[in-house]
Amino acid sequence: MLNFKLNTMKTTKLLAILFISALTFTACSDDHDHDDHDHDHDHEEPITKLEYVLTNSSNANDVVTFTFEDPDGEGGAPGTTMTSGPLTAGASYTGEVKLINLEENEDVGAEIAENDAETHEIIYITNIAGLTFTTTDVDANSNPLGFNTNVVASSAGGPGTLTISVIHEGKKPNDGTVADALSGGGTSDLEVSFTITVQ
Amino acid sequence: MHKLFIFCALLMCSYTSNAQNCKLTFKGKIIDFHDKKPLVGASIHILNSNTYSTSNLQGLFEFKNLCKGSYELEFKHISCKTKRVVINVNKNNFKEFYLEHHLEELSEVVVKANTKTENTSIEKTLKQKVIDNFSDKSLGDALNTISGVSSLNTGNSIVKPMIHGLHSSRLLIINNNVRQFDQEWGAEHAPTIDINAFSRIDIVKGANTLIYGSDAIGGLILVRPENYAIKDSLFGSTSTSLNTNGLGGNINTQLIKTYKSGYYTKFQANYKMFGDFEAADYNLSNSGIKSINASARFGFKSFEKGFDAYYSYVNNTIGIIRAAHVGNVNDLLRAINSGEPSFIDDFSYTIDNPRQTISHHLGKIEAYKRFKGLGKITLQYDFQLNRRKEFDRRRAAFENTPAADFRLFTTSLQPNLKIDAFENLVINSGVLIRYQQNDSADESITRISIPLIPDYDKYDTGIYTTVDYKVNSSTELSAGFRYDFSRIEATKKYKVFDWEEENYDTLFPEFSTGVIDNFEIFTTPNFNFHNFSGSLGYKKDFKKNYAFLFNYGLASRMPNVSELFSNGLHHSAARFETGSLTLNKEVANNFIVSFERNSENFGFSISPYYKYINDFIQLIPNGAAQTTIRGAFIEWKYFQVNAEIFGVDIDANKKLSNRFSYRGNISLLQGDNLTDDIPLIHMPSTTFSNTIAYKNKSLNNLTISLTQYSQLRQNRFPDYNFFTFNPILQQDVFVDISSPTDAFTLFHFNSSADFKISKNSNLNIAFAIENMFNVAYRNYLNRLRYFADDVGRNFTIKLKFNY
Repeated sequence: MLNFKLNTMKTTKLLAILFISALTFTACSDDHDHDDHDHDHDHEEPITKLEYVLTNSSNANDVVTFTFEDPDGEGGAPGTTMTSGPLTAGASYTGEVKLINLEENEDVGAEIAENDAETHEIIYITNIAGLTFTTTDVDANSNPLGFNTNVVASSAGGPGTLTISVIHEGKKPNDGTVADALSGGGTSDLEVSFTITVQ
Repeated sequence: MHKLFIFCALLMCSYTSNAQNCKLTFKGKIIDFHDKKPLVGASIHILNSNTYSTSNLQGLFEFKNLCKGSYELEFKHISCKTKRVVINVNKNNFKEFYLEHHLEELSEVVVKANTKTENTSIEKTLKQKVIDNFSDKSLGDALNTISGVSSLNTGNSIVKPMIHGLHSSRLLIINNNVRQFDQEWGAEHAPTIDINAFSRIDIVKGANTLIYGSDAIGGLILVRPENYAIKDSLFGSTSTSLNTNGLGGNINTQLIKTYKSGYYTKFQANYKMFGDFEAADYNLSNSGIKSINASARFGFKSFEKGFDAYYSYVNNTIGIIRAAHVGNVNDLLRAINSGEPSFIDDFSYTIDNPRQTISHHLGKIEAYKRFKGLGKITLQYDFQLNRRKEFDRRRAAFENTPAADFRLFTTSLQPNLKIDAFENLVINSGVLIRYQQNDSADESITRISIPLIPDYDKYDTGIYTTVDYKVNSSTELSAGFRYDFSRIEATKKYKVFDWEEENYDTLFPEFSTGVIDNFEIFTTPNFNFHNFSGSLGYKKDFKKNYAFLFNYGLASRMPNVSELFSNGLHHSAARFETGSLTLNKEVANNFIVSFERNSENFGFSISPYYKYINDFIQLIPNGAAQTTIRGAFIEWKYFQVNAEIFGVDIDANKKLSNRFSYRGNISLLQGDNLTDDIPLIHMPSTTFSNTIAYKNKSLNNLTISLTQYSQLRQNRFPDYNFFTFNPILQQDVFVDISSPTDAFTLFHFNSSADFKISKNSNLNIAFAIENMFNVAYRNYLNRLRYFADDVGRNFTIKLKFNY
């Protein structure tokens, strides 16, 4: 953006000293090559995998994994969703979401949680009665973040769906619904649905 | 031209000398520069004397009884440029003199009938006065006032002109005689042109002006700078505007110096800034615009030779309302259903993401020379450099990383020969050689794996001839032919899945390099296109300023790079756009007729038209939604259908009294997709406007006018609505992306007055109210119509100081 500021200065000067020379002005105007972009190679590539791992709080061997994978990214082959198995009725789980760039094998979720938590929130929606998701982590403003959750499967139900939405620049805090989270001009950056069963 | 010859009677003046050795005779012949015919009735005056002569039927004249020495002769002929020549008389001399007729090309005022782009073309013109009214708006806004012209908008600052429902590559925009190339293929790209650099805009409806290209299926827009008179003069103007809506305006200044020798030079600069605009009921957050423009011109003109060098620079930063960036189709649905933007903030001058920054350089040099008994040879070289960056709302780390970054370079060379030596016949013939290169920033810069538009090289060459024949004083015929060859060589990555899904691996195995890296295949698509086009024009003038015109045009257009190659997400309206390598060229047959009367007291034009377009390329929603990790998107794909577009444009003006006048127009249009027997998508609906104006020349040129503008609902639209599963609501939801917006009527008030400051300067003050009643409305042809209303009421004051 430096270039545009430069131009503004030059134009102001031009208008002040009317009609010096439009040529001088245009000769120094922006046309840089692609090489001097204001970019930074440290940053992550697009997210191509979402993994939500639930671990039974009282039985470390009871692990349920929800995976969405779209290795070739947006466009191309559609993504695939996979649920490893049912949740156990009466159990409670700790859940963790990972957002991964498969190509670079980077944990983008960790990057977001570290640098961009205030503008993100992960919301969990299910249609199974008796299944509740509670966010246990917060951002710097003490608003819910959603990478870490506590899940209580009080009774058997399903199969139903679990939708995980990552809302960007939405309303925080909100009433926990996607509609309210989006109401402040937020966008759904990620939205993935899984089959889920409690038995 | 022959009218000129019959004007003067034959007269010979004699002169008796009373000096002694003054018995010499000087004889001369006056010849028309164009066709080498003798000029009858030219007057020849020996300056500083009382001696006159006139040329006879053979163009001959003589002066008798001259003394030895040098004399300065002044030649005058009706509608010719006065010429002065110094002669030396030492014996009985004879000399030939050439006079020139084509004064209109040198004159200051270029609004006569014969200054049309082509005599038989069906044209509308916007003059300086109208352009001044739009000094802080865009080219598209100004053109919207013309019947048959509408626009495809993205918000209120990106206004893409449309003629008879056609836009983008189907319209040629000719910027000071250079065909503008600024990535015009994109629907959300407006022409990068500063309207303040020009004094006149012509719209040619139909495909009849072949010298600029063979693909003007919709028509041409010609923006032209002023034509200066040859005299010693220094003049200029400085103008500014202030607006309540957007709390901004512009300042424009220009200075022109002309010399009697024929040299001229001009500098112009413009700065425009607006913050967030306001709809009737809310703030359109992030809709501001900043624009910096400058142009310079230097040239020399005389009848026989001249040159014109021009350079312009335009730099725009345009905000797109934040609410228009949605994550996926469910976000879009929420936006459609809520009826209000999802993000409304307080007024701000800050332009945040999403935004576009575009810079455009255009340079040209044109030189001409006339040859006796032949015509005029013109050579034009031009180059353009367009740099476009689009910034989306992305994670903070990508705030200043463009999601798209294109650099388009175009250069061309155009020699043209105009033969006007024949009586009643003008032949224009020329060649075009053009090279174009697009450089798209790759993944390392945009962090997006496949750019929307690939890198490519494009080579064009064309040859054309047009002929204008004046059958008699009231009838004119024209015809033209053009052939263009284009070759495009692209390097593009495809997702392997898409490459195979589209069957490209069997259709175009030769394009594949065989290199596959991380699900992406490297390809080098290249295509050759041969385009033929032709035109026929007829014009008949009748008494009392009535005229009848007929045009037929055959135009063909190769698919543009967006239609062939585009591949990617557009977050406004949750689109995933996909091009197609299998597209053929589009071929259009255009018929347009105009019956008109040009008069201030009562004038009108009625222009019906019909276009049949074979293999019309259209971008339509392809129902099925693309599923990504972001959720579902609507796939928009390019398809070819046979189409027809027909309609009528009607304009009328009437002087009601000495001071009151009326102007009105109506545009009716229908577009049909004949292949599927449904209406065409995004066709303008019926619009009409009426203006009552009061003008009092004796009271500071006071002008007051009231305009009503109405746009009816487009009831003919194709239904591409669909159902999609909403995982949050756990049900299928109906996505209505096709229904048009409601009809609306706006009223605008305009007033202006001139005040004399000194002998050579005056001040024009204008006050206007746009959308007087603050009507909340949405325009069917606005791509952001799903998200927010159009702009509400605006009060504006404009000052223009001419000196």
